[in-house]
Amino acid sequence: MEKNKKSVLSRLRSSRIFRVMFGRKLIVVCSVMLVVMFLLAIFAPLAAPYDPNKDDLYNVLKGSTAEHLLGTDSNGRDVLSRIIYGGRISFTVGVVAVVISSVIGMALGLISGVIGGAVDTVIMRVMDAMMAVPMLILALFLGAILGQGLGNVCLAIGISMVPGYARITRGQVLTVRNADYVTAGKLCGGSWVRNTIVHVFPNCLSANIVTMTSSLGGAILAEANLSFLGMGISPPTASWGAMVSGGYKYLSTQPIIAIAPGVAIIIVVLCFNMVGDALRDALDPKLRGTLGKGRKREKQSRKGRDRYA
Amino acid sequence: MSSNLLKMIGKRIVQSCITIVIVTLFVFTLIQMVPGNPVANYLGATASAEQIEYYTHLYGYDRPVAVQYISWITGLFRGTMGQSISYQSEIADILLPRLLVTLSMVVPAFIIGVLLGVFLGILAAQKRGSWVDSLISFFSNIGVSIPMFWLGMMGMLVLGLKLHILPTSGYVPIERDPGDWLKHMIMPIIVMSLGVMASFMRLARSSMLEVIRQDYVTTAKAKGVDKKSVTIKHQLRNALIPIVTVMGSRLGTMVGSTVLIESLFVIPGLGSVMMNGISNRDFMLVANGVLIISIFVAVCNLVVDILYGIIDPRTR
Repeated sequence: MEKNKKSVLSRLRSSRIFRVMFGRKLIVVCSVMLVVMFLLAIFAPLAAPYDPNKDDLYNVLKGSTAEHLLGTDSNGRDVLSRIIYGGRISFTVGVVAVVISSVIGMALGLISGVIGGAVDTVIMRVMDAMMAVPMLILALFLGAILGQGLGNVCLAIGISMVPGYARITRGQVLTVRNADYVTAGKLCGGSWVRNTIVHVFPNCLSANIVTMTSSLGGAILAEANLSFLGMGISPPTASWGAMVSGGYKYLSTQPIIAIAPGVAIIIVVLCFNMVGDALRDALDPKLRGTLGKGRKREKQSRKGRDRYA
Repeated sequence: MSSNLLKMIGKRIVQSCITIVIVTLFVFTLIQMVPGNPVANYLGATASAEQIEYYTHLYGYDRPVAVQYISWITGLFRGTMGQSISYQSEIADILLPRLLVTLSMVVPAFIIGVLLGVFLGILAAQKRGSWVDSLISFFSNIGVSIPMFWLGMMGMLVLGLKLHILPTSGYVPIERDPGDWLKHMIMPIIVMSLGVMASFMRLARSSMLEVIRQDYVTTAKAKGVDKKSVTIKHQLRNALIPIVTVMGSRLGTMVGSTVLIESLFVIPGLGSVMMNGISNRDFMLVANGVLIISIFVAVCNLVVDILYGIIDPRTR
């Protein structure tokens, strides 16, 4: 009975979040775009009209034609197919880097917050030091030391994003640590490990989930930056950043080679940012009641409020 | 100045120093993880064993790691950063002039970006829900999602190749020809400032919206304080607090992103010299570049925190 009640409540809550999130048409559009891009990346062999790595020296630097919608690059490779395949790299790096950074970051934040004392000081000082190095420089430096390749790029970007998660998690732990249910858990004789995992950790998640969504866009952008600098995925594998960089030489004659992959980056990063923001707004209890009524009603309620303000 | 404020400043200075010491340990440890002898890595496969041995001894890489670290750190206090293998000269002499080139680009871009961004963000918050707000929000969302290198390339394409208004790339030292210097710097500065502008627009808008809801704003309005005064004294001043807080780290991020801009526009700044270091596998050079950037970030954060302490007595 008790359990049933809880699940109904949590369902209501999640439906409210869902409603607030997708109340705006723009967010629906962004989500659909992301799903489409994601599916295109997964089913790239079916979706792409050509082999992305097959050189065709008879069709070099062709502009947009019926056969090649976005033209061909300096090796005669179809730009559209390379963009579709490039999505695989972007999504992989985005997801893997976020998983690496969130797992390490949350673990460090938990340890730091729960144990406290000298351990806390050491971990947080190291995080401060990592934060003093701008993310791109840190990822670049790590990437240079680890070497090229998909795994190393993910690792470099992942590590450079760790401090953010560690800080957020630690902050959450500090607010949750002395809550009644944690004390109750202790009184029930649960070990501190159990307490941490069962009571403290789940309550740190929601803040981290928001960060995860918005840092997906950041990770994809970081991969593009590294690839542009030639420190990302090794050629000939298609990656959006490297494609833009490859199109640099043909900017005056065939600008589409550089423009098109850049647009792909913007769309994906923009959509992730928008969805991340919407999720944050939906989970933010302070904004409860002001959102999710649709734009028109929100405007009306604001007018009403402003009259008194 | 109150003793509280002095105490806070002292504490923050100590903290910054600790951060920098950890950064040096961090980058030095990372360099040690590069497989192989740094000299052999730079000279490549054609180098003879004698050559490698000679240069390894010359640059001191045959000493114990701890000794190398200590000599690096003590060198920093004397203003030296060690020898660069690839440039065959003192690293500080290579990096510090380049830092000035980078800063001459970053600082104006930052100032333009912050001022415009904050102004537009506040405007959007004031006109919340109107088309002005939608337009500004739209641009700020796109602005934070655009890869800077792509935006730079589009600038090159439109302003340089199509309209022939500005040179596409290159750099002229300011002492040689200030006019030409400016011509070459306009595009990189605009591109960098757009990114900052977008992120400050978002920040200023949300921070202003947060403040507008506060009770003291309602109270001030209820007391009959005129609108301008409410906006400036009650809203703006409080809305600026979170904006000022992130300024230090944003400036640092910007110095970091010059790697992209300098590579694209072929500007001999700190970022491009670090990229040279990476491609030459001259990691001591890169590590010192990272160190300089992190010191810069730490100093910016320190200044921001001190300013913050002066503006907002609650933080002392």
